[in-house]
Amino acid sequence: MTTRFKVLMLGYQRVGKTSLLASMYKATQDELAENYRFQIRSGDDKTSEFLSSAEDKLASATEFLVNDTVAPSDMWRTFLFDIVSEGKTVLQLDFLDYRGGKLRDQSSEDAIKVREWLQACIAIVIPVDAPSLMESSGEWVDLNDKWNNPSGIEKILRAEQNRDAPRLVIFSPVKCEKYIQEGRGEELRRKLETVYSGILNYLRGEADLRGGAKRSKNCVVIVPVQTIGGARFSAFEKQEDGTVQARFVNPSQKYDPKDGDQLLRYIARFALARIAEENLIRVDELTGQIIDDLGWCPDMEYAESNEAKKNARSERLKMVVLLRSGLQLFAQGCKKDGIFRILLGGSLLDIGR
Amino acid sequence: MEIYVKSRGASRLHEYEWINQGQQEDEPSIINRSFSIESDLSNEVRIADLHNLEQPAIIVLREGLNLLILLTGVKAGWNAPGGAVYHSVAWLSHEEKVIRKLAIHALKGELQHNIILAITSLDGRPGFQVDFCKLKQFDFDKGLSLGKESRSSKTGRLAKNIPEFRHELANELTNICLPEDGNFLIVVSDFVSESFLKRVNVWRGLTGRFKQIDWVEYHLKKNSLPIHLPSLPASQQIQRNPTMQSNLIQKPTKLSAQPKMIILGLGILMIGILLGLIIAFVFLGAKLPSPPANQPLQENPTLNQSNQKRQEIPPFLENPVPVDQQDLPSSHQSHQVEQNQPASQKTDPSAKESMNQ
Repeated sequence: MTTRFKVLMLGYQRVGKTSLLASMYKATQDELAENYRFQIRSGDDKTSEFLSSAEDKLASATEFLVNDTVAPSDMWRTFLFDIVSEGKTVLQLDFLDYRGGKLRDQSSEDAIKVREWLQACIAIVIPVDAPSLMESSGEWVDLNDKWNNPSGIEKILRAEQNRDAPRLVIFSPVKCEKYIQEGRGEELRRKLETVYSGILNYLRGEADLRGGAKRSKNCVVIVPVQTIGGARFSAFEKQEDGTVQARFVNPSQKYDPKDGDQLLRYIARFALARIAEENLIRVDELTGQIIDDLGWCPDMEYAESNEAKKNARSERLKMVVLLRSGLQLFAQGCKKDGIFRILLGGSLLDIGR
Repeated sequence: MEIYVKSRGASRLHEYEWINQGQQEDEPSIINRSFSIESDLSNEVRIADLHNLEQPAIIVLREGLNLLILLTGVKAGWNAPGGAVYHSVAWLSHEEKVIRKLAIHALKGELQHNIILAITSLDGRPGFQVDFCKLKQFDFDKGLSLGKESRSSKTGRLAKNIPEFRHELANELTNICLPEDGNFLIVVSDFVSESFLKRVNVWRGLTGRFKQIDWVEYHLKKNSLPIHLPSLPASQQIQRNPTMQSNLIQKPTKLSAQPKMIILGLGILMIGILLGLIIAFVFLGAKLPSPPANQPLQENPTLNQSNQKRQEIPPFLENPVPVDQQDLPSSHQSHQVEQNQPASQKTDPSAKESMNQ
């Protein structure tokens, strides 16, 4: 039985949840496959089959790319990614994808599933459609509210109850190639922080009161992903039925998504830090100092002989070393420059806060 | 028989929706049900794991007395943002023959045309409408008669998903019944691998990813049981389909003559053994020496096995976070408490749900 953490993709329809998953899958084939000590791979057949087909669609739409290249989700599905060290699966990340429009129907299977995952997940990824965030003025003034619907997301988050464990919240601007390439990353970040200020305030107010000391319960980061592989937003167009479509162009005709690995790196780092903090490290609740970096280990505590105790200690040490090296590796790989930003609770990404 | 159709309208505002024969948005609950496989509760399979949206698939599933046949990946005559729209149709019935006939038609490719004709796009919600009369089973049955029916074999068979094998399977179904146990009876889908079909213990499976040139037989494992993982506590669950719920009430099954005789025989044998034991106890019981009070308990081999298994668990899993609870415990003390709990409490998701509330 492997430790499996739930990750919730939180967003309305056509915002880019599945495309984001496809970019992550592509990263597991490229950047994340290179390191032998810690790799992130697709965890099962259905994840590879489904996301590789979504990725193919993104890859084949190179010349004129209207928004909505990937087929809409038809039901809620889960996608599994394994974090593997030297051939052994250390932990698994289980992502929930669903019909985003169903978030508006509280009684739908998809909305019920989202509420269930909200209570139990270790990380929430909020995809943010960058063009509607950045271009929402004039004729398109209400587009951000309709597509990204920040107030809807805030309502969902505020409705959660009785959650104790710390959590990672990632705002992930997608389809943001144009703004990154034009050096407007900072503008995008500021706009995101303004538009999502309600959610940020709510997350900031949530405190972890366990152990008496008040600490942030949420770690909030901005991780942009260039999901459409180099295609740049060009304009919005009104359709015959009154709906709006975004048009993208890709002069290079290459599918080259960027930073899909960053989401997985941040989540893996957070998950490993949580495992370490909860299981391998004893921290003085008042001072925050590490008092025992091997944690509570029943095999050592109840060992019948010195030999057994020694062996248990040696195994425990190996585990600590593995975990620390994983954390170090993922921490090194996490981008922090440009629009990448840790907004809140950065200490939750490391051991011994 | 109940029929459900899933499709969507052409607008960005539409989503894929299931509707029932009353043209109401209504999802058949079996579609989202989880089935455990390999006696491991963390290994669950849903119908969603057997197909994707765009590739045609035929799935026949049993859950108790309910039988479902699901056809997916039927391309509509209109597009939506993201490309073509695909229909799915689910027929639910208690009658094996009804589902089997539909499976035969589906395997021969005779249903898809009717499905396309029956579903048309609509501007308002839900974005499409269905002429359910065109999807009723009797419409397809002209010229189809089932042969002398025999019981299905207990052997699973897999082959490549090509017309030749689909027709062979259709012919087989005209002469033999669907198995009376197992969940995944027929899966025809290029989305799944051969090993996955074996893992879900499918009775007949066809996939484009199959490597062999002919049918391959394999041994079916004992029946896997559906597990019910409530999304919310029972009090908060929404009864989306009262008709389905009533259908889940199992009718008493009639035993055939042969099993009746076997049960009678076993009953007489048990009574005989019981009488023998009583007599032996009455006459000999007083003479048996009682064990000394301080005699150590015999070691439980099952415990030893589980301890050995524990040693094989990879590093992080030795002490840490319980997988099926997905939540990080607040302290080391909480682990201790958890480890002292009976196994049933550790693995019962419904118990956790009620605790969360």
